[in-house]
Amino acid sequence: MTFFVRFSIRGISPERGLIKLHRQKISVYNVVKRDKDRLCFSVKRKEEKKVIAIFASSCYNIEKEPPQGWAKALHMLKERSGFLAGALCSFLAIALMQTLVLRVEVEGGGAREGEIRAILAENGVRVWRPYTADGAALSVEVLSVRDVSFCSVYKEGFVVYAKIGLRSAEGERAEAKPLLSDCDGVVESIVVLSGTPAVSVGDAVKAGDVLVLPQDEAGSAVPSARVSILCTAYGDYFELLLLTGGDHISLEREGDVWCARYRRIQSIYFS
Amino acid sequence: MRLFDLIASKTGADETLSGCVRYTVLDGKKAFFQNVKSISEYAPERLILCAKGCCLVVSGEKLSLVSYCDGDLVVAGNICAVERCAL
Repeated sequence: MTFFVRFSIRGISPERGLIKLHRQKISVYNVVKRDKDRLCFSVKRKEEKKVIAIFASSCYNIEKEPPQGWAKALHMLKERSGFLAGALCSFLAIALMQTLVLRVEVEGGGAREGEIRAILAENGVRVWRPYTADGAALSVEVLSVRDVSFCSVYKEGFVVYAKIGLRSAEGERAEAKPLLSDCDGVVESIVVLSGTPAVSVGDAVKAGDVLVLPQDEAGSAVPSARVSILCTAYGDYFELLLLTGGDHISLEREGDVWCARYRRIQSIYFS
Repeated sequence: MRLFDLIASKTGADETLSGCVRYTVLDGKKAFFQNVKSISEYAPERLILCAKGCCLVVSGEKLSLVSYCDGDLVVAGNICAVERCAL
């Protein structure tokens, strides 16, 4: 690609300027007469200095015109080379940082945190290293650690989180402690990971009723369950508002009293 | 330009007219001149070219010089006429 430089010469009979260039065997392109005494033309970039030298000692005033088209773009890039380099560096840094790990957080690891961190490090999850591990595969590996019942490994920003659920010592002691209801209502849903459900969906329960028994068929001593109960309470508007904490399904007036329908979640060692 | 050489040889003018001005006008829009020694006048309506032994007056509208290298000149615009006049 040939780059051109555009000049404008001013003087009496500027056509004579072209003769000067012709004598020096300089090719001129795109000659346009702008005024009676002004002529614009382009020359190849490599001949720019030569042209300036030819007209330096003559009666013509020569001016270099601002670049156009590709030359303009090139000129702009050259003028802003620092800015472009900075932008490029920022872009590369951001692209690189997206994969970098600046912190590894192990939540709920308890006494097993050291082992879990070692597994993560073995799989390449380290500070100042790119994150290339497969979260699901890593979770499976972490689950092989003793007492770990739940694991989720994921990256958020520059931080890798490992959320761990442990079969705690309290869990062992909870063998004789079933999950009890602390309110009157109807069972909306029940999820039991271990233990035996004592109620089923749609059952009406009262406060103190057993919802989940700790022992299951496999003989597991660690109950882990979550039960959602739909409750109804009557009373003063503000009392009900305090009771539900504003998190109610409905709160409406029924005759002289207010009636609140709300959901209670009862859980035990449920991750 | 092989065409010019061919024409010159066919007409037997290759020796007698060597170095003379040669030109071709394409549909009044572009013109190509060879052996132009200088441009003595240039305006968007009129262009006077000097060559060996003669001058050429190119008249038209919006005339512009596309390139001028080594005596070869390309003119663009609405070219109405090219007249030859003696120096």
